Amino acid sequence: MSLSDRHFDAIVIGAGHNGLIAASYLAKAGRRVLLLEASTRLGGALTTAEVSPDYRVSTAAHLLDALPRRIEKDLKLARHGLRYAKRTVQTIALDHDLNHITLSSKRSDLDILRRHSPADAAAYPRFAARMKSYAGVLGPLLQDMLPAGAPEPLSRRLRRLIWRAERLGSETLEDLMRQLPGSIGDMLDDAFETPLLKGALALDAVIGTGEGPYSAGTALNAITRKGLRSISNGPHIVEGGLGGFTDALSAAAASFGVIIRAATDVKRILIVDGMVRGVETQSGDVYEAPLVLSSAHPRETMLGMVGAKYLDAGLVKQLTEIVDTGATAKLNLSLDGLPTIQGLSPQEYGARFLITPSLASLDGAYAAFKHGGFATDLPLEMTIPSVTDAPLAPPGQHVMSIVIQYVPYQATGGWEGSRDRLVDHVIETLSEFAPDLRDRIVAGELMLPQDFERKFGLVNGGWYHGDMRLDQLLTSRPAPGLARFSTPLRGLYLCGAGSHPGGGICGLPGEYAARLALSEGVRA
Amino acid sequence: MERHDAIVIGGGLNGLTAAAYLARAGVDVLLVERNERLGSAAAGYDIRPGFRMPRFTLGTVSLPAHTVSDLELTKFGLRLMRVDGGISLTGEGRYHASYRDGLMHRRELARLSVKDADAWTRFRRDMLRANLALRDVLAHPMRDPSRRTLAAFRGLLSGADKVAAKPSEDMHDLLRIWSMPMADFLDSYFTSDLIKLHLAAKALAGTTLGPYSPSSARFLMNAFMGEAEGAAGGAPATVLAMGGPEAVANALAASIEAHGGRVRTEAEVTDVILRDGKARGVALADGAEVYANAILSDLDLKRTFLALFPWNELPKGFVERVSRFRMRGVTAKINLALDAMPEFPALPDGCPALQGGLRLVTSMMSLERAYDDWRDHLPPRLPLVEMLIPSMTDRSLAPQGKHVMSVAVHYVPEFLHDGPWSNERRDRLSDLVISEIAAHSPDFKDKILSTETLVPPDIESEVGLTAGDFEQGEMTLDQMFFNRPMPGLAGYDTPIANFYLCSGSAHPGALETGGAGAGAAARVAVALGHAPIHRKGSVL
Repeated sequence: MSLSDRHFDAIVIGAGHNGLIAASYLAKAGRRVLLLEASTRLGGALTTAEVSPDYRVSTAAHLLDALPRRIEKDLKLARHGLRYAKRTVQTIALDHDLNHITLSSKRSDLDILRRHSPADAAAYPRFAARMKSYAGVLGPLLQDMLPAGAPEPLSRRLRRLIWRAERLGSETLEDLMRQLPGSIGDMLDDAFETPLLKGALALDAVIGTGEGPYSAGTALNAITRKGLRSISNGPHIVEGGLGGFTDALSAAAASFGVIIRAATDVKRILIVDGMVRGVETQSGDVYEAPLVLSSAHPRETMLGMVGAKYLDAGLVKQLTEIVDTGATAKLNLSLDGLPTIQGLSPQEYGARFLITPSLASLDGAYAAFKHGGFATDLPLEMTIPSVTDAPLAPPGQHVMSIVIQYVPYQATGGWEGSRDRLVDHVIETLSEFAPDLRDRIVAGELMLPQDFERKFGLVNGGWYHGDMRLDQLLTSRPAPGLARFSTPLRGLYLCGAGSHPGGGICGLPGEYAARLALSEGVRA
Repeated sequence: MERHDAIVIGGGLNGLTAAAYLARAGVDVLLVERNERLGSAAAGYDIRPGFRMPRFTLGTVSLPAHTVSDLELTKFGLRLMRVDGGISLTGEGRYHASYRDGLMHRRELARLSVKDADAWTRFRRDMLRANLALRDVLAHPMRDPSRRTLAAFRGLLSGADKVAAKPSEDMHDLLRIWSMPMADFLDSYFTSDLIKLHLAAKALAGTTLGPYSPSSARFLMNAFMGEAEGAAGGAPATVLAMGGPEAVANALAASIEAHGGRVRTEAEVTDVILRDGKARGVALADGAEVYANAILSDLDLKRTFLALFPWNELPKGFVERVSRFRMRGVTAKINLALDAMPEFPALPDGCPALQGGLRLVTSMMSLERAYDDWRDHLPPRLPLVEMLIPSMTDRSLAPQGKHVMSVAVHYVPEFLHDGPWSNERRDRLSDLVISEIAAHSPDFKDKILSTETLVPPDIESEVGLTAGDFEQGEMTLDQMFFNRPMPGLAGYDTPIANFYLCSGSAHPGALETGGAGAGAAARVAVALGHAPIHRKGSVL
């Protein structure tokens, strides 16, 4: 190995989307970057794999929902192969009485909502507009790097926030202040009466998290999601599934000159005099760099790779206490034909479907989950990506991708024997809308939270490297003593979902950490 | 025509506190109360001749020290007793007690976990610190950030500067306690399940959250509110008033009258008299009309605006906002007269902590389940049961050798999913609770002389608290501070000129007994052109 094979300007640990994005930004700024990935595959949980031979689907998350347009442009992802099978996918809440509600303010969609409730049809555009203006106030907060510790910039930021809020108009502002610390459930109970509409909007706010629709902080979650969507393009279906997104990111990283080594597990981050020196891999290779960015879980990075002896006791405690709650499972199905979803026109099959009849049933599913069980009518988010991306399945055939909310990591009595019951419940729930679904199933694959942990290293199967929970957001993310991206060790940054603004496929932690590392100017 | 400077509608502790502060400030104030007795839910009654007890509340008292001293309540007959903090008892007969004495409490903790005995010091310090920060907030009236005034805007900016200037560690500690689920928060201090459960059960009693709800950790600090800092580290005391909590109401009334104010019971206000959209007086049920320059309501927000005003006098949209204010009952009360002191063989003989009450606990998860059941409006299966035998401390409450027992049952819904509370349902609840207690206390059932069960709708119909909600509006983050009772209404003013809210529906709500009354009094004193009211330890 020559010297230049061991010395870099920066090393990025973990080639999930945040790691790839961080590495790309660093390389784009002229740094020589080494990206190390423990697994043989890049992209972390964003991968497309076969459910059965010739049927391929996104294994875990299945929509690109919150990737800022800026990142897409900066990294020239389109040039590197990012194609959308469908942009700005419609969201449809499936109704037992076939008056499916499309979540939009379009007149024709509101006409259907009017069949449920004229009041709600009138209220929906107002609600959507209000959410948009809230997101406008909070959105910039997500795009700020949110420094903690230095009082001056914080007070300036707070002043800016107040100034933005002041321009809202007092009624909207009053409403925002009331909703902000509250729950999405209470917010929706105030705004609407249609159970289906409330169920769908609430599911949208809690999906992927371990929070209930009436948990404090879920309104904030809904608003920040809206904020992220407003700087991205809304939910997109990526050609080739989310593995296609990973491929584009990898190609972009390579084009900027990032040296990518898969199957290279970092054992230690090397520290000398409180400064980062590089990393040592499991196989004993040492790579040196004055800058190391880790997209691994903050606890794994700081306690596993750095070691508690370099950290003060308070920080160690905070890291130990980061909560990860796996609450989401995934069912992928190969189908020998397109199932008939009743009451749906052909052009609507490419939509994203939310299935939960009401807030009460959503809350009931949450209660069952809390006590280690799962409800019979689990809340679902379903897509049939092959409708808009035919090559995913053989001609005329399809793949269905179902995110199942409120599935516990550990089931009371263990998962043995419960897996089939869970699959059965899900198929049963879907069959109420698509009666011929069962007959079309060729093969299927269930991913439980524990499977996500085994396969992708997600602690407890939680998707976000620390739950997106009131006490683990904003300045408390990833831990109060580690708010933002830098660490007490000079040259070491956290660039994964565990950092602000957190999980979801937004890539912002990767981008911000890279920008911060560049601006702080540690050079070889 | 009867005329005063100010009228207070309702003689609960906030109304009485408001009137007492106003009277001392030289305001000619009249307080009118619908019921025969003052104190609202804190009123006492004789469950049978010679057995006196609080009818609706457990019977412990939490009263800020500055109220006692400002209003000279001791001079007006109030005797407060500080006893140990109570005991939790599990189904297997394991127990954990809270002692005021630092050494005793440490020993008690160490009996369960030596590590936790050390953690207690840290926990206690953090609770006191969190209270100190809260006291700073309570000492000032809430500025309404949505008010379009330069002063409000400046206040916000200086608030932002203050937040930013706090050492970030302190800020993070505050963020943690105000945002975390209680169970996770306790895990970060203690290892013993029983110690965690003991603290959680006490803190959750009467709240509308479960131990795993985000933002429930903050209830842990309430018990430490009246605790002095620096004292060598025991558990917070339980405070009782000689004569029961109604003694607080009586002392407040005496304080009002001593300063020229008037208190009239059995006087129900039916309407607020409006002229040109301004409140001018009140009409009483007996037809009399009383006029004043300021009218304060100690009724909850819903009852105030939905019962005292014709809807067309209120601004457009206001009634809708009032009806969105969340009020839910969560506590039932079982009152018992006992022929003899009940025995609890699992507890050490003569354990002094029993004076502070006894809670039956199972597990954190079962508390969460009780909370889930409450939200689903199911008949309680395993509610949180809290007992207090005030006659142990105050012998005057029951005949020689006999006792009264106050039982608060938490996570009891205001109505059931399949219909309202019936007598049969009430009986089933009291049978369930009494059997639970009897499982720990042989012959308990034989000692019962009288029993009465009151569920949230009983509390609503007798005391007037909407939904039987003692907090007069859920104390969730979206209904606290400048959001209490709702954004735009944080400073005790209402959309009706001359009309103010002084009940627990206003800031600081259940955070401080009488706090809303004192805050409203300060606002009204200024409005009437009197000198500002100063409270010890705070500026109003």
